[in-house]
Amino acid sequence: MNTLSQTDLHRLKWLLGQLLALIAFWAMLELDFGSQPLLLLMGCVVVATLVWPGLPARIPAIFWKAATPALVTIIILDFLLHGVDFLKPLVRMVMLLTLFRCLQYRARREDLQLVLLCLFILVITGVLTVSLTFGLQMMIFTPLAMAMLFVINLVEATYERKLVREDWLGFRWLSFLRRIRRSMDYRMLGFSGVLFFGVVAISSLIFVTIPRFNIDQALPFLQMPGTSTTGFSDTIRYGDVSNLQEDERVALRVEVPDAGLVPDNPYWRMVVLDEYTDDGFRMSVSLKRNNIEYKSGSHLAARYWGRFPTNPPESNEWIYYMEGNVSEYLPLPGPFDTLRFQKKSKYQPFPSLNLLALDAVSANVFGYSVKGVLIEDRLLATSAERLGLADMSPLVPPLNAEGRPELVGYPQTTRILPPNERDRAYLQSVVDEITGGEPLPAEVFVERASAWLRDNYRYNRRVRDLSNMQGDPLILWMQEDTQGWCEHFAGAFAMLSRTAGYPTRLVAGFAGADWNGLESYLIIRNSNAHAWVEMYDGKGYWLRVDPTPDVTAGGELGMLMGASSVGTISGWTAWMDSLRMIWYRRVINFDEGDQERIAEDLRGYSMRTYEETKAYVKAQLASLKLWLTKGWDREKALQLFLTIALVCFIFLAIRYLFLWGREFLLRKGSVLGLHATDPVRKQASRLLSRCKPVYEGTAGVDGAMTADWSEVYQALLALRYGESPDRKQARQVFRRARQLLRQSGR
Amino acid sequence: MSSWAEPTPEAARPGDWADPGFFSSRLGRGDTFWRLIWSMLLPPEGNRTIPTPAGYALILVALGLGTAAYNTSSNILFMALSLLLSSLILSGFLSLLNFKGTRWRLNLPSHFRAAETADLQIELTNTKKLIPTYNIWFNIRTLEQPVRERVFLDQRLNPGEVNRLDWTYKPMKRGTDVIVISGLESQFPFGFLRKIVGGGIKRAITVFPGRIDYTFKPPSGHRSHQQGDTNRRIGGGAELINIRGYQKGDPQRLVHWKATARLRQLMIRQMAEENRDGYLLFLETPESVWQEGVALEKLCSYAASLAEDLFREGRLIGYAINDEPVTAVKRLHDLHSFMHVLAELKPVSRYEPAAEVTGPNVVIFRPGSGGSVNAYLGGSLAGST
Repeated sequence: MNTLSQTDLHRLKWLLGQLLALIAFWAMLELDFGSQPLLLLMGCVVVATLVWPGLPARIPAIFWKAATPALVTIIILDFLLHGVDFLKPLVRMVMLLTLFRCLQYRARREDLQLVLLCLFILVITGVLTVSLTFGLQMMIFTPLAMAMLFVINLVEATYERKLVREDWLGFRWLSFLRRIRRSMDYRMLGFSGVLFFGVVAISSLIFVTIPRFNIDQALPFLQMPGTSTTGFSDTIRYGDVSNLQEDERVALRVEVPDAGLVPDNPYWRMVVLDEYTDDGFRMSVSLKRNNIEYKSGSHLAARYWGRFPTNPPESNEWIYYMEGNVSEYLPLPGPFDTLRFQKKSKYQPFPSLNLLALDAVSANVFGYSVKGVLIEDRLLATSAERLGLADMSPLVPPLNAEGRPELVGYPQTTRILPPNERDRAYLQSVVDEITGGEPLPAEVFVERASAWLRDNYRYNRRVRDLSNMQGDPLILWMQEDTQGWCEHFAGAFAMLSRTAGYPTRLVAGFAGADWNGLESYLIIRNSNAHAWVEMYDGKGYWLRVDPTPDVTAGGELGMLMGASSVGTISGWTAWMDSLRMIWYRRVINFDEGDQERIAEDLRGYSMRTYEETKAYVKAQLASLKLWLTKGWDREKALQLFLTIALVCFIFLAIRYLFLWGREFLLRKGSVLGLHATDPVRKQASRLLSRCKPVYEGTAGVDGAMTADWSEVYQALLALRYGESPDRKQARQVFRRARQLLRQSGR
Repeated sequence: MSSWAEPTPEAARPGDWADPGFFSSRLGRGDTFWRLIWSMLLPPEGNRTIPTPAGYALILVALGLGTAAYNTSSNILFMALSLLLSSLILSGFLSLLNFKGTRWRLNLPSHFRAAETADLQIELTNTKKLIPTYNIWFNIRTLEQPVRERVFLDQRLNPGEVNRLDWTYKPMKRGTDVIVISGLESQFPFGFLRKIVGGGIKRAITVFPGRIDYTFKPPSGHRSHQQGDTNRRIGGGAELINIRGYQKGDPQRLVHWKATARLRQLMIRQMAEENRDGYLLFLETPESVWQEGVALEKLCSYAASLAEDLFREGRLIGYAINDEPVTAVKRLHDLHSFMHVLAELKPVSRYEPAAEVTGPNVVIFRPGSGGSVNAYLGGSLAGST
């Protein structure tokens, strides 16, 4: 077995260091800091130093003289110029330092710095992105870093030196890797593999058992601001929602306690838009002003904001994992009892709308759980809403001195119609057509208005360009086009229902989901983005109305909106997504509650096992007792005898196999240390200790006797301490020794 | 001269940790387990675990990660912290395995001489079945030269293999000294902790006086015996008087090959000394004549060098120190005994030098001028340093 030379070990150390740096750069690529080109360039430089390891020696000395002051200047300037955003210059600094260390042949101290820098990058990236890739990167990084530390310790403890150019002359990675392979021992590889899995197992154990408590002082620089890519904000323009419907990325994963609790058509409310303007629907100023206060905490109970879910179901818990950069508004299916964030967060509650918004869009996965969710097609109005909507007639705000409509407070905003009289007349005509001029109950109106929309418009994401026409865009769409998407249908329905005397608000969020049976959870994609309305029925409820035609029933192929029903996914997609879910569920969202659950499960399992074992043993003993006392006959005795014989046979067979195996190994002489437990030597040792006093006592008494004893004693000594004893001969010696011992009365 | 660094009874008491002897097969498994547990709480004396600079950095990183993890409740940080802690556990486990089954012994040269380099060897063997031993070192020092030197195992020591770690030592003065080897030490596997397990070796050595340039020329006309005297004594003559077994130091030319072949062991011819042309070294070290210092050192070196050369020529009969009886020097072993005496020779207070020693073959030593030492034979100056 070859061993690597000191220079080879230094080369191996260099290789491992560059690999660690590459993993760190790979991790940083996931950070959306706009430095990707620079990162790629740095990665290429590191790869170049790997392919041509002699390159660093060619860097002129003046570079190294200038490098340190230049680095310091760049870093200080970066912090000064971008100091407000502390994290970005910090990451850039670490990036530069890592590259700096990769460009030089390193001594022990510099190698350790490189490991630390790479670890820092990985951890920071992991914390900011909470990505599953982090797990993979750590799985690669950990053994490499350990190997590097191992090699550093091996080479630097004895001969601390740096590589020089001459060390790379005529160097080829291929032959070097061959040398490494030759120096490897399969036993060592196996052992290393076992150790690696040991580390993973121990770290998992530590991760699960480490005491957790939240001291609620989030480090500010460990939060990366995100940007909403879904467009779910307090102002939604036409097309914001429908544009998402081609985006198949996952927006939300929901872990449900029981598949039976998932409704057939789940709707995930995110934002409620009560005010209608020329540009579309938006959240009214009064609504935002009423809920302007941000709160901070990790726990929220519905009773604290004045809204109780009617008839809350049993205390089930739905756990949500919202992907990064989706929205600051949290998807909620309905009223709930309590809501818990994974960590302390700042949020803005909208009790009247049953909504919740974070202070900023989360850049990475945001987890929260909701207990006691009530999923219904209607939402109980608050008392303020009921009072405010005592008058449900349409409302046109009067113009102020500046010619603009006067501000109207919520919930009156849900009654507002377009300011243009012609538009209102058009809407009235449509409502008359729907109702036949008769006042209709809310449910009937919903049915008829939806039917009218379905009859007159088709679902299509391609609409006519009406931007060159004057007028309210929504009314123009109703008048001039025959196809539209969910925002058009919802907006049109809202206008019609308001005209008919039913206050209505537009709701945006997600509709429908995919069920992943592998891990039992719902996947909601951006393509599930949807808009619908909530119409006040005058009886204290907001009715959910989705006027968009159900495209699964007969829409145009290839231009369908995501159905609000629950589908299923399977195959590789399901497997891969399950992995991600496991990551979120078991790692990212793991908390003290899970620890308690595990402890409880363990306790329950051990108690159950104990009870079952006890019962089983008792039953077996009872049946044995019964069998023994039942009476004996020949057949039974034979049965007992055969059982005992079988047990003895199995025992002896196992013993023989064990002894044979050990003797085989001994004969091969390949297993070191076995000689200490060689049964022949052990037996010889035992007999020696018995024979010694007799042998010494017989010396000089009887010549013949002494000769026998002497011969046997010497033979025993040879068996005990001599070279590989002969088994046959040993058995004869042992027999003779026992005979002598018997003769001497021992 | 060698000794296995097996666990001493003291080191084998419960409470040892990571001592190579801890894994001795002579101990019961139960003892081993509980000893391991106990030793985690109370490491035995001599066992130390000291963080290295990298170890301190690791502690800081772990503290930072822990603080950040509890601060942010981020499971990613908890995960990184868990990995860090598990690598520490792995490090301890690997370190235990590395020490396990590693045995060593110290091989000393036959003798040490002042101002001459001696080669020492620490013989390491790995008795494990599967795992190599790496990155182990010993600290070696002597009482006279307390600066520690490290002797490294810089190669992988595969299971069942033996490696010899060389160390050269140059004692500077005669006398007794102690070689202290502390070990094992290791930073294996990751260099975070320097682990020292007990089981060091202390070995007393005697350093013979170094060689010195000298002159020794019997006065002209001097005969160390009367003409016609004969004395049959064992020596370098031509007449065979006996055949005996080989003893360490016997010259090869005296091997009786025929007898050796017959008896299957080395046999040596003993020849009769033909004449008495030999010398007896008589060293007197009264305090009134010799004080500790350069002159005494020169005396010892002179006597040692002269004795060695005379023995090589077969002309050393024996030696006498002060009032002690004469000791014959017949074999190399006798010469080394004389060297041992010289190594520890000191001025004595209750001895007065003989008034006149004029034996024809007795060499005596007296301080000369300028710190030199003179040798006298039959009352006449025969040589000096």
